[in-house]
Amino acid sequence: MMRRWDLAVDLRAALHLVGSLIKWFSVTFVLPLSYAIFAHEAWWPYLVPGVLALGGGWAVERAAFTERDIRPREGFLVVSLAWAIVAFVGAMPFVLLGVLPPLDAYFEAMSGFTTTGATVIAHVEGVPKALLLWRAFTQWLGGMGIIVLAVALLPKLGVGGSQLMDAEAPGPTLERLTPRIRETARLLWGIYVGLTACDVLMLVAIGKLSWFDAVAHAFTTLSTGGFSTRDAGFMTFSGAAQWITVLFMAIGGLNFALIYRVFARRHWRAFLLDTEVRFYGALLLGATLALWIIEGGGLEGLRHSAFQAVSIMTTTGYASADFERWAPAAKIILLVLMFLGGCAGSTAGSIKVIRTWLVFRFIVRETRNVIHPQAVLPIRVSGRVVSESIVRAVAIFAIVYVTTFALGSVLLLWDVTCAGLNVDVIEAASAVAATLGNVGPGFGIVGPMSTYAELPGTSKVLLIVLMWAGRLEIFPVLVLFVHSYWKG
Amino acid sequence: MRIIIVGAGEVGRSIAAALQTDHDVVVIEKDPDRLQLLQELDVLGVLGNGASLKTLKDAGAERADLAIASTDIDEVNIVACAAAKQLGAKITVARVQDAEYLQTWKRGYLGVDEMVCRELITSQAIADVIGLRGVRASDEFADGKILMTETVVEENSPLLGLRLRDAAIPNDCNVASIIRENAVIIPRGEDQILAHDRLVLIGTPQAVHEFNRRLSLSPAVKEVLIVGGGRIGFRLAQILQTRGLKPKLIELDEERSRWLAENLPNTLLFHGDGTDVELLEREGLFRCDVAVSVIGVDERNLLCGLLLKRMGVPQVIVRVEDPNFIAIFERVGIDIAINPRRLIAEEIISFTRGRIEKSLSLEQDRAEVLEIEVSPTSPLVGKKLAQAQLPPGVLIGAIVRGQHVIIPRGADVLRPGDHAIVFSTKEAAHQIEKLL
Repeated sequence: MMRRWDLAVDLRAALHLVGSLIKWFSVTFVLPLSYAIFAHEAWWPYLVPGVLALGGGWAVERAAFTERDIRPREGFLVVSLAWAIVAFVGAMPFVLLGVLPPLDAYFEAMSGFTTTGATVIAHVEGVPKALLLWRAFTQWLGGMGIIVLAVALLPKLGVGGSQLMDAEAPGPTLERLTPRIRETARLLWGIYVGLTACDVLMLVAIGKLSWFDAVAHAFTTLSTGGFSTRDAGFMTFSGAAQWITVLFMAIGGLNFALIYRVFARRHWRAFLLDTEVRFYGALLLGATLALWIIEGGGLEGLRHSAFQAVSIMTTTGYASADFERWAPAAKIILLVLMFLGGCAGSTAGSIKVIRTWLVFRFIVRETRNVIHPQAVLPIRVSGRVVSESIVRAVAIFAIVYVTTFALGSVLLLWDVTCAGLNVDVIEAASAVAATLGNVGPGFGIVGPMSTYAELPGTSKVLLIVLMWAGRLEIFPVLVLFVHSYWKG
Repeated sequence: MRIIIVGAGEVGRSIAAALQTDHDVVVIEKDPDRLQLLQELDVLGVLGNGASLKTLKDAGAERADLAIASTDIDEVNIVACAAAKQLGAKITVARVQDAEYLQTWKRGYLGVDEMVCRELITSQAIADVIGLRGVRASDEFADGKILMTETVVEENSPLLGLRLRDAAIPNDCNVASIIRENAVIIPRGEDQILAHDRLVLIGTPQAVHEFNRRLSLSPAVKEVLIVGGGRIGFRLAQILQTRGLKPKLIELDEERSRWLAENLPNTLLFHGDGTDVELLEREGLFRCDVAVSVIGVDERNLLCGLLLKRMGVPQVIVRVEDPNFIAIFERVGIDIAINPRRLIAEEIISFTRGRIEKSLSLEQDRAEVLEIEVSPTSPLVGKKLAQAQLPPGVLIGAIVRGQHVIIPRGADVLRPGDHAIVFSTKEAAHQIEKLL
């Protein structure tokens, strides 16, 4: 006999784990705190949320103490809840410093952790530098994933960690590189840290950036986040810095497990034989070329085309030019790129290249099956057969993603029109695509040189939910709204 | 020779029958009824499990020159060989169904000296005759360096009526014999090629293929249809894939066809019935150059083969398990009927030949093709073939010296250690074996 409050989800175990995650998350405030002290800025706005997270997390962990391990079912709740709360805690410094009102602060923090890069701060150069560093740092943490970080570092998450990572990791496949999930998580973070360090050094040495700018931008480049410390974004920096950033954005959009296999084990050919990498490269080159032709060629034009194509497709969202003023054809290409994203297992958001490829192969296969009804045609990726259940899951994800996009666009358009703003369909659609895909800037009112600040509060709430769901690839969030998830 | 055969199934029995006259044969079988069937042969039957030491001892495995394990269970065959080897059997031969064991065995030893794999031998035999329209039988010698085929000259052959010396036979190919009516002729340059002759060709695979194509006007094969995706069908598709072909395969079982599609990247899989006329027509499957039916049921193979033949497939090859059906199948219109059991039995019997590496009987045992290693004491060593006194009814078709293949002419000389591929009539076979 089920009583009213009997849940199928082990709420206690989930809360226990979330409390523990938040408690440990407080440690991340050490970075902005020490920088604030170093730069003689206000430091208490980083200490207060840190202490609150530590105390609150500890309290929840103790109150919900249990010996039980979490199951996959709790995994969705833990991950979704953890991300929502982390963004809440991360928003506090913005409020405490008086930079943003609470809702805008939550929007900014969610945009940070989900590596979206959509901002509501119009004049970032007027903001304390420690806060800018914190803003970039949130993206860096969110890029590889806070759960992956927790699995790598926290002793507790050794066993149940793989379910959590599955719920958080971008893309349809999480490859285990080592028999132990913690080792895999550590390897991924190790590569991530190493690549970020490379980016910092190159930006300083070749791009002539200051150390502060280099670190903040490397944080948001490898994580394909897109926050900048400058009002004009990458237009401020040299061409060399832009080319370096093109390279590292493209790397951020690669499968980190593949990067490990290629470089650590010297499997150079694995890179060229990988279907996803080939398709990813072809799409980037094709988009660059198309933009270059539309925007009228030239060496500088090539740089801007490559920068925008890579930035939008990897869902980073930097701008080296105001693409708001580009030709409609170029803008449509950018809008399409927003849906592609990077590779599975990268820090990029959106649908992901491998899913696009699989859906394409699926369509080709079904068409061939109409002509040859009895032919048995498996779908292969990199020479290996993809099981039908994965193909189906991928097709369903694509449908859910596009449906979410369509619904979100309608809701947003309706809301902003009620608020009396003059927003056209493409602008609204771009805002939804840019937040759901964790890209950042869209067109028009939310264009690369504008902010999301003008949107009404209800629209911001909608976009916050979209960023959150988009980063976790919709399903971990979606199941929370299914009745049977909670009851039996 | 003292030979122990484990398992008196179809294969075991035919091996026993072939070896009974020249050797002491002991057969181990656990089924008394099957053992009863051996009464008509001149062999000793032992009741028991061939993988048990006690039974093997009872059968005298310590003194055995050759132990052949030929039950229907692969694992039993391997264990029986290992046990026999342990007891002191000189050479052990295991018959296996699953080619995976062949891979395992190549790396280790398992106490098995020779392993004979049914699916590989059968699929290789089918692959060897694919595209060779007149070919009735074919086999490889010297690890595939030499190919032998027995080819029927059809009435529309472009070489009809030509003398052999005018037929522009490729240099690396020898016409070892012409079988005409019931006569086995060792040919000379003046002999003509007549309709219904069967030519025994020995040479390098390329040259033999080339001459076969010219004999029967068959174009190079592009499309192959395989019906039945069992072990043999799967291996055959693999072999054809390595030749650069893209075969089509029809399999009845849905799960199996999915597995096949996943494991055969260059094969187009159809899930369906090989006798489904609608499927064959809609997909244009009957417009292939060669169709192979390797289902497990003889009657279905026949039906499927005849259907495809009627729909216009130029060459139809079917697998037939019942040896009594071979001749019938070929009479009613199947081009080539392949019997896996006979292939296996031949392969295993060849291990009893001592210095003879391999032998193949043609024309219901009236002629043979032998691969013999030339002994240093042979009186033929050092003599030009033109001067050597070969017994009548014998022709040296090819000589393999290390990696080199020599198609011998009168001036060539045999050296010790050469492998001679010899065509011989049944009567002359013992003589030439002694001579070499």
